[in-house]
Amino acid sequence: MALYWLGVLIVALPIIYRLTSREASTGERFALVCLLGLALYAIKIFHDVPQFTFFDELIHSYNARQAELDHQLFQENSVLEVTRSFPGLASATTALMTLTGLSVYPAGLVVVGVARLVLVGALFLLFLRVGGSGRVAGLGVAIYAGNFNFLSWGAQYAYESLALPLLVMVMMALAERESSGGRALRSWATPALLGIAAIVVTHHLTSYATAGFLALLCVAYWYIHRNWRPPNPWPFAAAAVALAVAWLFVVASSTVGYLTPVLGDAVEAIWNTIVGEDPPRGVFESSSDATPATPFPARMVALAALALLAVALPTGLQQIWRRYRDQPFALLFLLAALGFFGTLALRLTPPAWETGNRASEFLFIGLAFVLACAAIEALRRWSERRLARPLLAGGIGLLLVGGSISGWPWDTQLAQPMRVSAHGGTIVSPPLSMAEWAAERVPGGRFAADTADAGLLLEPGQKFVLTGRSPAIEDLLDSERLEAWQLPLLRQNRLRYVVSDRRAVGRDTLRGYFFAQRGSPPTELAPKGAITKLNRAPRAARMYTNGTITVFDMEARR
Amino acid sequence: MRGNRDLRLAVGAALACALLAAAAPFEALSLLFAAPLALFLPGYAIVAATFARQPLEAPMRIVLSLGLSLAVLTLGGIVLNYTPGGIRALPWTLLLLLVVAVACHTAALRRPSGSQWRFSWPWRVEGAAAAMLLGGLCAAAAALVLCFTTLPAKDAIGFTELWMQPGSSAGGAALTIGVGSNEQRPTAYRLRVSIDRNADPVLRRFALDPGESRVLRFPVGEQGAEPRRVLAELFREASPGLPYRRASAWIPAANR
Repeated sequence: MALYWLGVLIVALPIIYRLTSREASTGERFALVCLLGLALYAIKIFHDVPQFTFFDELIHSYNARQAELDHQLFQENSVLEVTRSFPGLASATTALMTLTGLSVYPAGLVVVGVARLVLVGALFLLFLRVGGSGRVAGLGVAIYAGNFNFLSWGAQYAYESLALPLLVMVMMALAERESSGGRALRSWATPALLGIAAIVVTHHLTSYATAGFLALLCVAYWYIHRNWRPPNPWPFAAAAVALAVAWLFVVASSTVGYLTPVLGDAVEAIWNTIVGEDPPRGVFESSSDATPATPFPARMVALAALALLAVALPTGLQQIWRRYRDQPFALLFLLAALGFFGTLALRLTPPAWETGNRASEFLFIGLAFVLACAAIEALRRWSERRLARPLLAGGIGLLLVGGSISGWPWDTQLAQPMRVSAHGGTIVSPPLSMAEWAAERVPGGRFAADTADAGLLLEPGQKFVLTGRSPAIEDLLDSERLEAWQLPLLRQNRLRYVVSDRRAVGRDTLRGYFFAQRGSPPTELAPKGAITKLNRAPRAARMYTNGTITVFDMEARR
Repeated sequence: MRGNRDLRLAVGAALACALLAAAAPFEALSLLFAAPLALFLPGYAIVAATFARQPLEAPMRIVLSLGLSLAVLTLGGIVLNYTPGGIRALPWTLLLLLVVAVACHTAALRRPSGSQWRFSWPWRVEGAAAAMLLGGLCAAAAALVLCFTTLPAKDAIGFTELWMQPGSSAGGAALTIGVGSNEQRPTAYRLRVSIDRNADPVLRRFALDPGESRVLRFPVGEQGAEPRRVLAELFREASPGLPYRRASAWIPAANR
């Protein structure tokens, strides 16, 4: 693991160090941040080659493949229904797939890769416009790479990975619009509106974040200039709100049902923690006892990164207030930076953890600019000291490593075995083997399965599969006796095939796809009864088994 | 578009990329041509049309070209979704060519006469930087090759899969039984299939290398009046008394 982090730093530190210099031109800094963005994206690619292994990736690659097969978007997705209503990513991917004949994996990598390039490039130009300095812009992007999700989650093949770069592009366009006058004001409307429309059809949360950002930006303009005349971007905020609301009600009404429980649970959990009904979640504490703990040195690195953010914040805020307080974007960044520390509190309650983690990607944009201003001030103060630049580059390296440790579980930072060679042949993990068998041997078919198995049954299985608690698939799979409600539930949902997985990790969307390994903590297994109960179903056959995973055909007796 | 070399080049490149992407004999080569057509030229053309009178710096042009191309791909699929051709190669190609051609034409009309966009590389690459860049690219290429190489993982715990499906053969009903080895080493198996309660089980012996599988077909004789349950048990020769895998199937009743 130490070697892995050393590799990450070898990739990033020379670029960051050069970004701290005075000599580099703006063009060079732009090229360097693009290189940094792509190099860090390559780490994610190398983690997973030759297939997607994140749960969201399996969901979205299924959508793209279905769109390619049926020549239509908005195809049903049985695992995450809401994704069908946001087909932007599937649309972009199928363009490459149909034009080239490539499969969804390489086409998806290219689309997200280009989106990453847009993200870092647009962020650089946004910071350049607001900060007026290539040095601030370059360091701002390097600091942004230290957000919790940049290295892993944010680089996955999922709708937010496309929508967030478009949001940054819209912000950049509006920042440029602000600085240009007369006719040029109108020119910037085209990229801004195209970007907003593309975000709205790509990702729900990003479209609401866009509307929120733009609304706040309008208020910031008003606060500074006391008028609503151009370049106040209120027409763009209004367009973002109108498009997002129209899409929500006309196309994506399922979003309400999807987001309400997530956000509702988060609010309830925070309240319960505040009033003392629930204990707070420990830092680096996993929801499962079987998950290996993050080692002490890694925790220290992550905490040191957070401490560095907190220590640098006051200086950054002071610089913003001194130099940029007449700039609406700078005020927005200031609020976002403060908001970021607010979202850290969400990490103390398990249901709100994800909300806090996801918000950090957006709020870190503001924090990165604020901290870049602090970094420039530090370089100015200590310009005589030879160690100033190496220390600053090291600090940003610490943010990069610490942020990644905070944002992604320690035991999944390195690639896990899914497809390995043995005696000249290639063997695949039990869940992947089951999914490949289902794809090859079970035409059509509707499945009930644990979450990780369901992901692989979507892609590469290309199956209709239900999972989770609604309908009560988890309860059905957990129970050790065949209960009266279970067969009617399967019939009601027309689920002919049931995948029973004894592995507790079958329900773990991060770890459930790989081989069990000797020397790792023993695999937690469900009681045998949870599997064998289905042998007693009168029409069932145990049609497939690989030891831990068994597939029952519930309508085998005809 | 006379006098606008970059616009003529953009339209020509789009046409050439469309043709070459379709004609390329393998996918990676096709991507080489399709990528500019899908991921750069539509955005470039829109930028050229929108900012015809205020040329942008190269970094801004690059970012907007890529970003707006992504926006076109994102929104274009929704447009194609409601056209008769749907999401297919030809409609995509025509849509992208149309965007490039219309936007370039608009740009040519809006541009002040005599003005041209010239592309200048935003960063002059010096010797040391070029060497580092080249080294980095070589390292990335080597890493990519390594990533695509399937490597051994001795600690990965192997397994064997057994599956069984009823089917039919020329002689009537049949059973298809598959055994796939994902064990770490070659493994010898014994398969016992109990097709008929009144007859001895059918036995098969075979060995499989890691990653190898075997599909066996068993005729099941005459179908009865009632569906019949069939059981297959797989043993490893190394532990012959202990069933390693069990699967079952139902032979359907004869049609009456």
